[in-house]
Amino acid sequence: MKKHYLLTLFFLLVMCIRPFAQEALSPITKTIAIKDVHIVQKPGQIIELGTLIINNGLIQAVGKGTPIPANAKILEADSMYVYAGFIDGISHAGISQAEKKEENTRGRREKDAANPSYEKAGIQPQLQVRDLLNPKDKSIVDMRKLGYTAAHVVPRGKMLPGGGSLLLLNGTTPDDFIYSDNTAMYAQLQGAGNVYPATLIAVMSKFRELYAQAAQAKTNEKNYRLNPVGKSRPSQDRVLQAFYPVIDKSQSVFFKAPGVKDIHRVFTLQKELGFPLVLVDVKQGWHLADKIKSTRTPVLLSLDLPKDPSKKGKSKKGKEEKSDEEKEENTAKKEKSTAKKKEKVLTPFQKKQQAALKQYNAQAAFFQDKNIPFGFTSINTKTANIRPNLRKMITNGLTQETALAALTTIPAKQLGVSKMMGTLEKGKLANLVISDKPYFEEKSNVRFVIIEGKVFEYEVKKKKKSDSSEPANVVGTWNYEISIPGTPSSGVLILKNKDGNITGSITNDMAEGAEDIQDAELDGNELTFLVPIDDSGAAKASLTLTIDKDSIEGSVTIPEMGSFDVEGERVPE
Amino acid sequence: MKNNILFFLCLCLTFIGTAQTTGSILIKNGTVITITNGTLTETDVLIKDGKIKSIGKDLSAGEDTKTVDATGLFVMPGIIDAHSHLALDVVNEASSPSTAEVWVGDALNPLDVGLYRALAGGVTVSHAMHGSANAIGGQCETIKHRYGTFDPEELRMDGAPRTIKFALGENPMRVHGEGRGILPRTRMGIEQVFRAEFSKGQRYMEAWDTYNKTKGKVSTATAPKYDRRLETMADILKGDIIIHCHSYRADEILMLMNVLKDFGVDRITYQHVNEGFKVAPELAEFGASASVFADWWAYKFEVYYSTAYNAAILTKNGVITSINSDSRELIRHLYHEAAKTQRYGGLSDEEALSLITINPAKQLGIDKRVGSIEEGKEGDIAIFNAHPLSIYAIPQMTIVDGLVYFDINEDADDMRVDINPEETEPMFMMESNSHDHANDACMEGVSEQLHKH
Repeated sequence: MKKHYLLTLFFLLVMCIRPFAQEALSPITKTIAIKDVHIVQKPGQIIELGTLIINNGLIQAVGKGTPIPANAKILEADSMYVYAGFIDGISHAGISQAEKKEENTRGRREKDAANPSYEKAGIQPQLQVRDLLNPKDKSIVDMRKLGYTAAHVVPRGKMLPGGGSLLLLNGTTPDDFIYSDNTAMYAQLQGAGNVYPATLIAVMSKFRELYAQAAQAKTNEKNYRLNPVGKSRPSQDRVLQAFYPVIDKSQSVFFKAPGVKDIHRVFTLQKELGFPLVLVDVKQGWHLADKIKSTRTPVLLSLDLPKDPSKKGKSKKGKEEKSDEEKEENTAKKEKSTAKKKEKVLTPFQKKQQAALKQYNAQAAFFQDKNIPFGFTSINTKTANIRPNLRKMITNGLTQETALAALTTIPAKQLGVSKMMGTLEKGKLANLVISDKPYFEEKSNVRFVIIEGKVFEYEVKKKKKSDSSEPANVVGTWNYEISIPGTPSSGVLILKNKDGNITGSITNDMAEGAEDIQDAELDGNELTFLVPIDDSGAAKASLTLTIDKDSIEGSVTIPEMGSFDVEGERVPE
Repeated sequence: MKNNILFFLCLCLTFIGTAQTTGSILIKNGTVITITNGTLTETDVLIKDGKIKSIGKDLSAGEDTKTVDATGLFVMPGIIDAHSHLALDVVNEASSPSTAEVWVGDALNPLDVGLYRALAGGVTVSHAMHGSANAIGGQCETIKHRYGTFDPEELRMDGAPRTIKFALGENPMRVHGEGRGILPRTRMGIEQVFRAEFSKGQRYMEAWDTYNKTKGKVSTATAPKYDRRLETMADILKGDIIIHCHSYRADEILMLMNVLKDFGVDRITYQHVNEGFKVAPELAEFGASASVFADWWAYKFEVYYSTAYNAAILTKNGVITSINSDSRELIRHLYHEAAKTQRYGGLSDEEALSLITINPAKQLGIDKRVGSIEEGKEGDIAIFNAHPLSIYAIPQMTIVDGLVYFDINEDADDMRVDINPEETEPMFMMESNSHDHANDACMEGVSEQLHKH
């Protein structure tokens, strides 16, 4: 019997992941000083070489020549750029993807399709993020690494997935994260698929019906409380109750509406029912910019952008960590040389397509030029694409100030937390992001993220990519380590090269035996390969490693677990 | 050169994009087939602000009014399709034997290039219908083919009466009986769905009437729980909604008329109604209309007993009859479909063309506004190079509300308005012809809802 050591490893991992050691210790001082930095206090307002003092999780002082308290720990951030921490307007950070239940339902049909439970119907507006949050979800770490310090999180789901909560992206238990609850009703035009409401048309109808029923129930409730004698006990349906604050207009419906038709449909519902609306994940908003402006509807634009079909690079397995931009760049470079020789002739269709692409990329700039305030949402955007896409929007006319506002002041305002978040001012939460160059520049790196005074430091990984396309010498034996929080593991990787075909085997200290690597490809100094991790061989971990003479560095992506850093060295012969 | 093409495309888009309201146009010297008032040769039609202002000789309009020379051309009212699923993102909500509350008007897709193709066949109005998965399907929407807009609201024919889809026979039996093991499993069961839902609708109406009478007077009066499905049934009972029922067999057609008699409902158009010729006098007596295919049948068991004489027999028996497409392809040549009734049944030109103009307008309750060329009616016009019932007829220009939406001389290769920036190849040919059972347009989306988990 084959020993699938990695499978064992992953079971161990699931059980062993513990909170980071650094979080277990309380800091020596709660006062932090950041000096000689460019402080972008708010969009367009910069203090050059200023000082910012944090005490007890709050900003104590911001300015030039501010005295530094004796007990302050000084952050090594000279000449860096400090911004207010970003706020994700709508986010699924910390909400794990629903596990695909392996129920044996194939071929079986939903008998109660006409009258499903609320759960099956995807109608659960009463759900609270607090009860669903997974503090260990990788998305929290990933978003934080980009500079996000707060996120307006909503559950995943169908028509009415649940309520929103504003979270600070740091904590051990779900309660640690909560800044405020009941911030939103999150809604989507998405049907349940095989039960009522299966499709858009039933979702539209059901939304109207629930809204009207909730209004009825609310009135009945009120009348009953005034004088219950002789009246039937009013409904205690929690789904309807979740609508009460919306009907009162004390809570907004954050409605997902990416496409032009979605936006129209959501506006139709809003016009009929009159609830306070925030448009979420807008991708084709330019068609309705005037309406959004005249109705003063708050809007969260999508951070996702279409891929340019003319720049589709070869997609290789095991490269998920690369952003689309990097892939496109690689192809663009190759095309540049050929472009000089022969001007590329576009078909009419391709021209229309390029024009369409431009509209998507310039959506944010379009809103900016129309003076329509907007925030951003990360839902349905690959985290690795967020920064490149922001740069793409900036290339298409978005100013850095507006981009920053969309990440800070606007979502803070939408969520009613401008007093405590969104800018760097005395008395506000010490939520900051510090980058070594201006944040929106391509070569800038996030070096520190501070959430309520808690510092997260990030090392700059030097890109060791060699310029020559000569394949690196991979042959040999390598010792490697995988940095999994709380459970680092190591092993040996043996690589062979036969006429350009890379083969090899891998071991790990958490399992017995060796496994052959699969689909290995070497592109310059970048090696990618797969390792089967279960008995069927269907689930595979993918590794991407950059080779620099005698050291390797990269990452491993394990299905349903996430990505982890890998480092290693060549074993001298 | 390529820049010119792009510029031209942009022009087209700009033109269409702003053409959301109404326009004025003078059509000079054509052969005007009015449908309701004979055929007038060498006649002008002046449309002013979307309405037909005058019909006559030597009409003149202001200098800024677009003028079309229709010398040698045939001018007819815009064609109306009483059964289509164009411009819909959702056709079936197949999760329940009755979904009276859902409305395809909520899923209008103005970006559907099928609209342009229909315009290229002279069709200006269509009845965008819910599918036939359920005994009581959703409410439908009568749309004007104002192609080029991004706003679904712009497609609606404001003021057109509400309509709802009912369905008899194999489709609802298959989806709910066979598919889920629930009512209706048989044709008898379908009748019971109608009776049960109408009864519930009656009780719902009564409960509200009682509440409305006691409200304010009795302190304990509590409103009945709002229910959109029963609201809709009540609206049908009140005569506010016209039923359009998917049907084939004569026995079922009679059954539904009996149900409607019992509940006092009288506005119904039978759709497909392949065995309508067997019960034509009964349909005429009830006042029911029929919307049929010219010659399409045998795509499932209940559709074998059919004839191409159906439309003619129904017409001759005094049933208001139309010919519909129920297809993205047939809708492009409904004038050919109408012409078939001259070969099979010998209908006159006027009778044949009524099948795709004034008659469907009557069935949709919009005959006061469209369906013929009359002063005061809406400016929906189709212009042909030959008589529209001729096999050589080619549509030249299609006008909706006085605005040109199709012109054969400005017919670019790619008329889509919404371009997917990620699409690698233009998908012109991806749409299948729905003329086979597997792709029954009325059953669109059903199998996904049945089998998805």
